[in-house]
Amino acid sequence: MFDSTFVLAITVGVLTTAGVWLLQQRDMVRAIFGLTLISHSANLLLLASGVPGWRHEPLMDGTTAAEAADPLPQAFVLTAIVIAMATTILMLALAVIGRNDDQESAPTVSDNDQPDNRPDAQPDAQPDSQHESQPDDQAASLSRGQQGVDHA
Amino acid sequence: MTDQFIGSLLPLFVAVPLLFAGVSVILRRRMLDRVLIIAVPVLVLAAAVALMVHHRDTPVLASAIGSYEGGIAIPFVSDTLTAVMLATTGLATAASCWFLTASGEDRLRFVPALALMLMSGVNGALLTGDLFNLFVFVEVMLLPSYALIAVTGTWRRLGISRMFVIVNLVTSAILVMGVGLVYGSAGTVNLAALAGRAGEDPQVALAVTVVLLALAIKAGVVPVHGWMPRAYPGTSAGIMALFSALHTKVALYAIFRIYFTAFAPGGAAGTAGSTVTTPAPHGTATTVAVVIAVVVLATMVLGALGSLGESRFRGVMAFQMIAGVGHILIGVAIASPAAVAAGLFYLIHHVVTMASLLTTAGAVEQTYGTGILGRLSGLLHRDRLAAVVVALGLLSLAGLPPTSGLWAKLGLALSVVDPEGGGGNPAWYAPVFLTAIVLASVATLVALQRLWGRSFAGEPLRMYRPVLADGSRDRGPEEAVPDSVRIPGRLLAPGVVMIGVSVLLFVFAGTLMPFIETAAAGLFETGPYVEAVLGGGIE
Repeated sequence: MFDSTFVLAITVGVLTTAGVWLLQQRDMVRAIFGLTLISHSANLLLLASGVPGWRHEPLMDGTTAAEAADPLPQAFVLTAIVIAMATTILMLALAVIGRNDDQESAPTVSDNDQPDNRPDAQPDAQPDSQHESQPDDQAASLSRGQQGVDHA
Repeated sequence: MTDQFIGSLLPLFVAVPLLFAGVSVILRRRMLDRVLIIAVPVLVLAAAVALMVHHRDTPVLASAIGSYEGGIAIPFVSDTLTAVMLATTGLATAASCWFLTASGEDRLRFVPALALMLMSGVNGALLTGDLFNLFVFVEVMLLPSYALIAVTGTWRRLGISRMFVIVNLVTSAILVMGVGLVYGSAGTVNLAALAGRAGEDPQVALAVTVVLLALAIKAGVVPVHGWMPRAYPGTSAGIMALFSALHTKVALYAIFRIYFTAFAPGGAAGTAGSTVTTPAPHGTATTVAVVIAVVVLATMVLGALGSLGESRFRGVMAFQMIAGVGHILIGVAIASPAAVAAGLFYLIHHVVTMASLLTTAGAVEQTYGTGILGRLSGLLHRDRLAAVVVALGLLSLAGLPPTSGLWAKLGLALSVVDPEGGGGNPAWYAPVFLTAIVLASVATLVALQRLWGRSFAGEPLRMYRPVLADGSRDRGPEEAVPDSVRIPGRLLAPGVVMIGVSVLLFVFAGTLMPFIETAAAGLFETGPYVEAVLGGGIE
């Protein structure tokens, strides 16, 4: 029962669960870790779709077609890894620019309305006490903050 | 072999925008950028129209990249539907990019190059005949989008940019998982080789449903729409116009293409010459069809109702986009050629109308410094032309003449009650869908009246927030609006042209309809598509 497919399926499940849990966190770096785990689980799923067990490497002269693994899912995974790397770098860049890790207050209505490109602009100039949240109140602050977009 | 030659030109739709994106990065001349950012979409539009005309004789063109055999090669495929979509997105991109040059956003770093890259990804996603390649092109679309939001945004908009990135990455993960499941269950990700397979095999059906779920998130279908009305109004108006014309519509196109090819529904509506034999649908396919119907109904009504509660011009528009997605997907829910044709016409109408309204909303924001409905009023007395454009745009969204909206909504309503179409549909479809269309229209009408009453009608505008004189794009504090301030014509021009296209669609709908009907029929007769891609040999 504990064959490789089973192990793969469990691993995909665990990675996805951990990724989703990390995504629920407010700070960007944790979200990035979560997305990385999810993309790993997607890669394993892709691999599992072609190869139910361990097979020989799909090289023309090295193995016969009957023994060789399916090369297509491996090509998929390779492509997906490259894309995941590019997006991870982009997200890491998003995580370090700006003044904070977007943990303290969500954008209010005026934030979206006026172009304000100065790097020294004060993102938290007028923190509405209702929308200000404690760091340990992260999940709640997300929903409150988003409502704040409308009602502020 | 002229068809083969034309087929081998299809990758140019991807290559040319990408090439000019590179040119724009290397040369960095403002005038060149301005020309490229408008000329390339217009070029794509012209090529797509030529392709539409060509497809009257040759229904499907396929090009196997690298001349591999059909079934192994990664194909680029074009039929009338693809050509129509290429033309529509090309037109909307041209208008949005025109607005970007008018508002000065094209001066921001790399914006022209990013817009062209985005266009390249869109064209690739529309043309590809391979699910994994679709995922790759969707990523090609998304990467410049992340950068576009970040570049045109503000520090305060970072949160929105992050949400957009995270939502889309999770969606991409679901998409790639779906593609993996399709490969695992069907042994291929070539769309032509998948034709009808989901209709036969419940396992493939479930796998394809995962792909459809990912596309539904990208399109903003109701249970998974929440990110869109938050993310889109948070970007700048020009970028929102660009995204609304490209991202959601590519996802919708892919839903149409994949659902109809893989599930081959509507066997009763299927026409002669179809090589795909449609067996009695198995339980999973029927369930999927019912789920799609329920979701589409919810999207229409909730999208329209949601726009009632928005306090910003573009917030209302974002919810109207969701309502529009619901209307377009009626074609998938009813699954009759007439409904698909009506849905496609609605898609074109919606892209054109939205481009007009969003660029005009951007012009208002640019001039008066705010898009909040409570702070605008009486623009009717100041900007007659903008008022005309917005009035026509709102009429179009509500489905009233003299705009494309009338035929779009009428076509949907007629196709829903058509007893000939969608023979296999449950009996409750016709009354329920008709009720939903009416409900959504009423809610839309109320929401748009509210929008009009709070922005263009009412007391003359008193206060505004001008751009600071220091050359930055920052806004100063609120001050009394001088009488001389008007929305500049260059900002309004894209909106005027697009609403003109909408009126033209109203007048010349008859000229366009044959193309759309051919496109819709092509989704049901998958025979020529399969044959062009696989060469009739494999399968």
